[in-house]
Amino acid sequence: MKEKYQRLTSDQGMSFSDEDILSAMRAIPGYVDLTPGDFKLIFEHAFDLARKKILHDTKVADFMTTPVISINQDQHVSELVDILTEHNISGVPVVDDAGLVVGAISEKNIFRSLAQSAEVRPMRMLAACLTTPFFLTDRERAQQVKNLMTSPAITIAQDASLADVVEIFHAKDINRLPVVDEHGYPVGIISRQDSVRIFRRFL
Amino acid sequence: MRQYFSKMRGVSQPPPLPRKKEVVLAFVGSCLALSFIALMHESFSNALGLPLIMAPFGASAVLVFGAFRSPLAQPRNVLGGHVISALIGVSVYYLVGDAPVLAISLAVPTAIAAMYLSGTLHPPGGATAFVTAAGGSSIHALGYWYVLSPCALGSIILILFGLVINNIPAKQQYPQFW
Repeated sequence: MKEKYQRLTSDQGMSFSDEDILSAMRAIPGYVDLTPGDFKLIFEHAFDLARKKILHDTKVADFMTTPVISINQDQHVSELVDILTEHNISGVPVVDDAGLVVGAISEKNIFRSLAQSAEVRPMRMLAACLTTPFFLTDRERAQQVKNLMTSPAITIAQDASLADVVEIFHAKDINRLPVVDEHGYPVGIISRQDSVRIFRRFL
Repeated sequence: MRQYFSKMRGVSQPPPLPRKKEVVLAFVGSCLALSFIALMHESFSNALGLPLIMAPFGASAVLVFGAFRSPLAQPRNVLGGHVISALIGVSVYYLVGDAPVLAISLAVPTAIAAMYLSGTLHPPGGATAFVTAAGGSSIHALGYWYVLSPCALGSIILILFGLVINNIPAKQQYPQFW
């Protein structure tokens, strides 16, 4: 039994001390004819079920942002900047002429190109600004989205779960995840904020 | 084998002790309920052929007033446990006659199984099965009437006192289920 408690708690990355359990039991009026060990066991089983329900039964379609604003890969960076400014967002999925998601592009990609460096830091940007005669050059402005975008696109299906989203955000250094239907057309987008908002429901 | 014996060391600790006012309420509640039962019995009901006193009610009072949250202390358990166990105890007596060893060793296990299966497990029911199967001539003389009185009547009185007393504190509630 003891081993079982420990396995359960380490699986979920959190554990309850006996003192936590005892103070919870003290908060319940009347004699609770249950040992703290059983109380803990019941609680942890219920907690585990609830945790699984939240992570696996919450589907991407339940918390993605729609409609998704996207950009064609042949459009120019100047148009991208307009779109990002207009919608006050920092990145969009990139689609081809058929409307399929082929990549993603964000302000980071533009900054990298401008700073001629993979590292995006405000101070480096400022340095580039001050040392380059024509900072936002015509070449940069006319650059097509497909030349700067990150591809292939990391996307997720509508029926994927919150657990999948957390895994992807954890494994990849990205801030938004385009949601695609079974054919690859964009149907929504999930930002890091969207996934935080889901957890806020359970606060 | 080592694992078998190591299980005897236990894994947990006792639950926390109740607050002082809970102890007081358990004392007062059980005192009122049992004195009511005893006074009724003494003053007239026993004379009318409706005895109300039996030892297992002492055990029931522990649960109804001392562990009222327990599934074992809920109304269906109190009433069902005593009635089912008494039916079994009296039946076993009729079956085996004046043979206490056999009566006890049949009645109590059967009562446990029946309470389990009917969802009315109530530990004092085991005592009821015990006394009805081998409790002496005065109990045997009542036959199945013993199921009604004291078992059913006394259980109902205990439950009613439990409802009145246990619900007095704002944060306490009885029963958990009917």
